[in-house]
Amino acid sequence: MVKLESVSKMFGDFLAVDNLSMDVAEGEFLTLLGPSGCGKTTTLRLIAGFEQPTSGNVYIGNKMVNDVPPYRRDVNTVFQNYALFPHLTVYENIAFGLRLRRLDPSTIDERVRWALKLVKLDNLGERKPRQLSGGQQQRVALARALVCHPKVLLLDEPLGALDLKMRKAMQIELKSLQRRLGVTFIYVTHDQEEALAMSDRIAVMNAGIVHQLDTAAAIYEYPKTRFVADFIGEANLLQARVSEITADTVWAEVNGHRLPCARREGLRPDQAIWIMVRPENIRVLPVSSQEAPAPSEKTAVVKGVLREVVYLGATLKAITDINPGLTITAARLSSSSVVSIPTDSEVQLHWPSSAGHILTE
Amino acid sequence: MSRRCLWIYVVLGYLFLYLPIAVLVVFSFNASRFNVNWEGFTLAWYAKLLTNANILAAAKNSLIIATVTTVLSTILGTGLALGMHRNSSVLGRLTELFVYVPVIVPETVMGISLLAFFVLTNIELGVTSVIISHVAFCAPFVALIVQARLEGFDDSLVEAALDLGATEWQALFRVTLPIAAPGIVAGALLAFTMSLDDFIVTFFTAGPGSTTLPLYIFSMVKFGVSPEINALCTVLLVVSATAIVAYDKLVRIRD
Amino acid sequence: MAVFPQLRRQRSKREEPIGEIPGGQRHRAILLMPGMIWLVIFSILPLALVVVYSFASRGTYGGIEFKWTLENYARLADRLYLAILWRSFLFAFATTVLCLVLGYPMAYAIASSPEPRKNRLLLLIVVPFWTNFLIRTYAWIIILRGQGLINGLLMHLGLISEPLRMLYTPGAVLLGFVYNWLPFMILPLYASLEKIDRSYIEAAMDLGAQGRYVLTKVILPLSLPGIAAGCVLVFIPALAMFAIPDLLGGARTMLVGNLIKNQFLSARNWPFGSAASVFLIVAMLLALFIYRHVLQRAQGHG
Repeated sequence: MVKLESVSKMFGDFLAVDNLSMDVAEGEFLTLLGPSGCGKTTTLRLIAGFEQPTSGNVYIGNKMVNDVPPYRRDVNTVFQNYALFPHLTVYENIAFGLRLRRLDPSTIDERVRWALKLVKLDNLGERKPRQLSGGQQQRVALARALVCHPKVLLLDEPLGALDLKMRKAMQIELKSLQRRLGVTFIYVTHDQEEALAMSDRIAVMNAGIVHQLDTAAAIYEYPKTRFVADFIGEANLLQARVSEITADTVWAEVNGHRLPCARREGLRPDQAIWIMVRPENIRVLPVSSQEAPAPSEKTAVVKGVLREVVYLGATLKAITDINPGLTITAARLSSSSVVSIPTDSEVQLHWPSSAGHILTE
Repeated sequence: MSRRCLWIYVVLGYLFLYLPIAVLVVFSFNASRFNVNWEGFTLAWYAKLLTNANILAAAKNSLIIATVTTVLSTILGTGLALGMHRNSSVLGRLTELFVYVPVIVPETVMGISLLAFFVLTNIELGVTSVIISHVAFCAPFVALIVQARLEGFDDSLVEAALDLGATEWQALFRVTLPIAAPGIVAGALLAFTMSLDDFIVTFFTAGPGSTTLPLYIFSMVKFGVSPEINALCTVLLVVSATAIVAYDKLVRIRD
Repeated sequence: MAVFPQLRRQRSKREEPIGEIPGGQRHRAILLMPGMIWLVIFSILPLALVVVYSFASRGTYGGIEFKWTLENYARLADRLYLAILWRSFLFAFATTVLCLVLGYPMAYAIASSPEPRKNRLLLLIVVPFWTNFLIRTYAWIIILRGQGLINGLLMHLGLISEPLRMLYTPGAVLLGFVYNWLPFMILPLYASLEKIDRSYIEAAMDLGAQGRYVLTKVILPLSLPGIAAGCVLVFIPALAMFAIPDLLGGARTMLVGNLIKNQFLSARNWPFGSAASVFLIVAMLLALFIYRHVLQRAQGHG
């Protein structure tokens, strides 16, 4: 539905989008995720037509649209600050795009009422935008864009200005709306939880580059780069070196510790790598515990000193120092036995070798 | 300075500002032609105004000039403001520079420069030359006022309009102009007042048939004091004071 | 253009830079073109013409001869004309200082008034601001002239037997100037005083500062932008004014504005009048330059 082909965008000397290619399928919910200034908003604006690519091509529905102005593109945008017209009522805001299309009045009325109903604002048509709450304004912006029946809806941090509760509720609502209407959504956010909760696929961006474009689960479990591993969720990243490659395990050496990791193609002995272990995959046991499995191809085990246990409600974080100069964080349920281990005592950490994910970039 | 001293001072200050005007108004109702002594209340001088063909002609000129000037400078000034708005191109910056020129150049210099220009280009001095000159200094003021109004304008509103299918011109007429409207109205009122009020530039650029009210007042005052001038001035004072108070109310209601 | 830095455009805050909307640049050029053409032809070109004329020579019958010379400027340095320039400067300067001294307490009182009264007081300043200056000048003629109000009153009380000569004196011109431009000083002063955060003054008081100290060390420096703006708004037009001296002054109050007017209308020596005008423009630029300097320093403070 939307295709970017080696698209770059320069602002003066600043490279905002760097040779970016991606393909968005019809009916897909795709999220561009990344920190401030990563180029995600620029990418969205390139699709909307507010920017023109310095090089590369933008396609919407198989048509090259590089030189097509925003008003002739079959996409609509929900702006970060909603950009509702302050001089028009809610009704007129929603009717704006339809009036420009010169539809007959009864069709316009019918579609505006449909859109108002869609976002559950049936009674507020005569209000001015400034008389609405943030959440209501957000819905008007959504209705105004959807009423035009775009092929693609672009959303630029649409929930950024809402409070946490409202945001969570709107996430669910947006997702179900998208599924119901079958419209392609391209969604920009810097909030990873939001991205994970709503998207079919996520493109993780940094410094104008897409680091990984994949499903939420794949991005979380099999990040391709250290940036992705670190940006999505929490991760222990250990600098390592490949020491031995066997049939189904890669042995890596981390500061003198030999750790088994999940098998991965294309590695050679002595290659510099990183190992990523998610905190929730790591168990913490007293050093004397009988439960502890022995180190093997299936299990990685390291010993260390428990430095701190941080209580976070449902979970807790156990921070362990490992000689020399490593810190590993484990996340356990608050009901786990970790609470009974005194800090500064010796512990052993272990995790299944399949949880040790190898990164090369 | 204590609070009380300050307020005594302020009252004196306002007296200084208003006493001369009050004297002028009072003597416009004085039956005596020689002002100093009060010889009874009369409206004769006002009646005389209405039959003075010169004054009526000057008032007519002033109104024609101010109306045309307002229309032209509102259109040109709004265009300038919209074109300058967040325009960092060379043309944009040059415009901003040129807009400030008539605002800061002393009116006397502006007047003689236009006079020199009209003489050189053989443009006859008259209503047309006065209108041209008034637009030259009113349009920049309109531009600055509209620009100030656009300062807080959210550019994403234009993008939203384009996004919803409006061309740039449609976005201008359906979004930008309606939102800038209060600034444009304020600019138009300012242009009208400035044109109606202007003496110095008009002094150099008017011809025999284009005497405006300020020019007429100047020649009358130079000639000497008369209760008729008092009456005329009082009428104009009332008009401008009413306009200001009305404008103030209007602005406050909008806010 | 940074003559009025407070009017300088602000970029909207966004996390990523934004380019122009395609076609936006052309669109803007179309919008500003009519106004620009008007300004170039009827404001910039005439001023350029004056600069050109100032280097030309006077023809036999008052016309312009394009024989380039610096004589017009040299003539400005004649004792007679130097005296006029100096007098103009003194009048403008004295007017500015008097307006500042008279206006500051008023602006301060208005700015520190409670809300409904503040607006009413302000409106009372704006009304004279918007009434024609000829009318306001004429009011003083009624009061000052030989058979005027003051003389009439004093004679009636028997304090004087002959009318005092007040009109057609330098003092009358200065009075007319101050009266005319006082609102122009009060308004920017008020604007900057009103912006001063009450908490600064309270903070100073809290730190044990006395009234006078708060005034000189807190309020005065913070209102410097308003002082500078007011001075420019008074000084520049006062320097070029010819109508008030024409009405209130005598032969001894010929100012540079009158000089220019006379050269263009009666003496018909346009090159010399142009040179005097260029002198005014330079003086104006100088005043603006000082204004900018003061403003930048003031902003450095606060």
